[in-house]
Amino acid sequence: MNCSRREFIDGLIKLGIGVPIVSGLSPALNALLEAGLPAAALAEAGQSIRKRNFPIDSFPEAQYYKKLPDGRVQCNLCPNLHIYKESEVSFCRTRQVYKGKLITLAYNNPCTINLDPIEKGPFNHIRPGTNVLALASGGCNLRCLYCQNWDISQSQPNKLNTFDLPKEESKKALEEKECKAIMWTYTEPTVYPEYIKEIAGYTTAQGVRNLICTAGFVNPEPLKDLCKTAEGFAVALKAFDEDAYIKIGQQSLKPVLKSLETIKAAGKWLEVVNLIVPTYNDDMGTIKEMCGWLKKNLGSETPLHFGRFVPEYKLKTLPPTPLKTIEQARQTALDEGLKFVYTFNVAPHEGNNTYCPKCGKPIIKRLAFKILENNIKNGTCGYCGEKIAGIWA
Amino acid sequence: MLMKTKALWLIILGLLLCLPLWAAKGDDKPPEFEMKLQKAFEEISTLNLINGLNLTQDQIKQIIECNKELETLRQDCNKEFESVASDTMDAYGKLKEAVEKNQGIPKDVERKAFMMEQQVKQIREEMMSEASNIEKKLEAVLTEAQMEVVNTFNPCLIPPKNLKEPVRAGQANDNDHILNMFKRIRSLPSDVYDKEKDKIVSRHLEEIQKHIGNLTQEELEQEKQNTIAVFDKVRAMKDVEFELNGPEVATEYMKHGKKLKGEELRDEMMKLNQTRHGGLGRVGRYLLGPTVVQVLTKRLEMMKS
Repeated sequence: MNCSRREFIDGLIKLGIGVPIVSGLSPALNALLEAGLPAAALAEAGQSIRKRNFPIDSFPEAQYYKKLPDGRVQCNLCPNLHIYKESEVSFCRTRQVYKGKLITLAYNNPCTINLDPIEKGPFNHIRPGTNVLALASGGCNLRCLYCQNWDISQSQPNKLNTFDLPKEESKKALEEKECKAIMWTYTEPTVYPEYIKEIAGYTTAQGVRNLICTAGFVNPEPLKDLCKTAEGFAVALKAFDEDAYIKIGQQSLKPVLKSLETIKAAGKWLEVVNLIVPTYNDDMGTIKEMCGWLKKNLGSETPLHFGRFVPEYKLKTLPPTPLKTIEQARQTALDEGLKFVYTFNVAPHEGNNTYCPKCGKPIIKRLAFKILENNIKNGTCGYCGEKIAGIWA
Repeated sequence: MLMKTKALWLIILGLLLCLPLWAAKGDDKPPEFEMKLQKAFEEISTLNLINGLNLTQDQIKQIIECNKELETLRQDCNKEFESVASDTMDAYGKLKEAVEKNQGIPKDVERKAFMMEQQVKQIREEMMSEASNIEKKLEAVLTEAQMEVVNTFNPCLIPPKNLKEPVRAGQANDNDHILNMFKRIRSLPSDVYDKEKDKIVSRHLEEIQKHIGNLTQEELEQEKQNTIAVFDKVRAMKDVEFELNGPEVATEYMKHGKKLKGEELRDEMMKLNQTRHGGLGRVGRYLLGPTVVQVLTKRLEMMKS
């Protein structure tokens, strides 16, 4: 039997072995220990009260798959086009074959709900300084070595502690926090399009924008459908050569480029993120090539964010990206003619700001996700009146 | 990591509290080790701030220049102090003699002592005013974003790695530990919570007192009621409600703790002092001084290589 690290630890806690660990964490629980409470009560105290293990037949049938004559199913959601047999869980962990049908395990059960600044997307050209409702379900079809959210992205949604968040509840949350946008982020939203479409279909009518932060490894058909419901995309372009792409995320570059073009062609707002990882994708020649491609195919007004890598997950032994590298990459992109080039995960830095491409003045001054000054007036530069690309109202 | 930082702070606080004891014993200065420890802390803390500011080479050069100006000012000021030192000590000596005799102070002695006191005060105020100008010059070197970092900086040995707020350079100020406590409180079964909440809160307040000192009985009672009210409130929240509103409640609770600790009062006093007497603000306090020059000179060399 396969047992994940989480399940193993949960098991230990249930057996009471975890009690000393738990007790070391909290004075409050220490107080309970001193009170001589039974281990079972403490085991319960150490767990979340969120729901988990929804019954499998409570999940709806997935879209984007076909039944094969031999009883197996082929998933058409992402370019992998994997074939699965009965009871098998998909590579992205969000789908499972159940009674001959592919079902989606990520539906109404996000594992993360947060109130985030929109800049965290990163979306620097959509209503700066506003907060969004950030949602994520477990699962991802990439295996990025540096994933910051590996504990949820590399988990099956129905095995995580999750919230019960059907569309009505999401509407309530949006209203309560006065949010005008939902940002699907942290994991890979394109592996649960059914849930996104369900929520988006309901909230768009209320004037709520849906924004998707994705790695873009998805087939055109589901992506086009998502474009019908989402207004903005932040796409993580992991690298610009096939080898590096495979090394970093164990997937291929070409479908991602295709996705970028699809989003652009659908007329949706698009920002591109490139996390620079030392020795993996920090070659300036390739970065220059990437910037050239972005300008040619997506336009010079497409914002590009260069992110600083911080040691995470399976790349803990690598050092963080030197600031000099990030600055070189930014300069390269500006030299190539991209108008809005940002630095991400580096702050304070001049690359956090938005500069007017005409007069060169900083029109939005930022400190990471925080807006210090906004000089955009009705979508134009407050100094020279130049129109600035983005969604400002 | 937070615990480690807290522990180190406690050690440093302890050492600071011990300083008067050495003075009482008649020692001129604290033991060498303590001095070294304090210096090391200052160096590391300054490095954390410098790392968090992402200064350019040009900015570093300008900050070093400002520090040189301050050093010149200090030397000039010392010369002026020296020029009045002999007369001042003489006047104060005569005043002390008169006060010891306790038979009234002669007018000329009183006048001379007052005059010298005024002279010293004037030199000091002029220096403060000049130093304040240097600080303004230094502020102009920094960007708005860097100023924001300095203004929220709390000296520390190990800066927290906080992905939610990547710009933090100093001591942890986030509410994660309180949120985690809330989560544990929420997850207790009702019967356990109802039966044990007094004990839990008492234990929690004991922990708080370890950090901020003893509370009066009245304060304790008030805090107990307040904490129970907060715990009850977070327990009553639905999952989604807690996820969205919990951080706000935790921040409020943390602010309340700071108030209890007198931190807000201390900050207010500092600001008031600066306004009233023109002393140095946060920029001057953290970016003017020999340690800063030493750290920045080394950093500049590293950047050039």
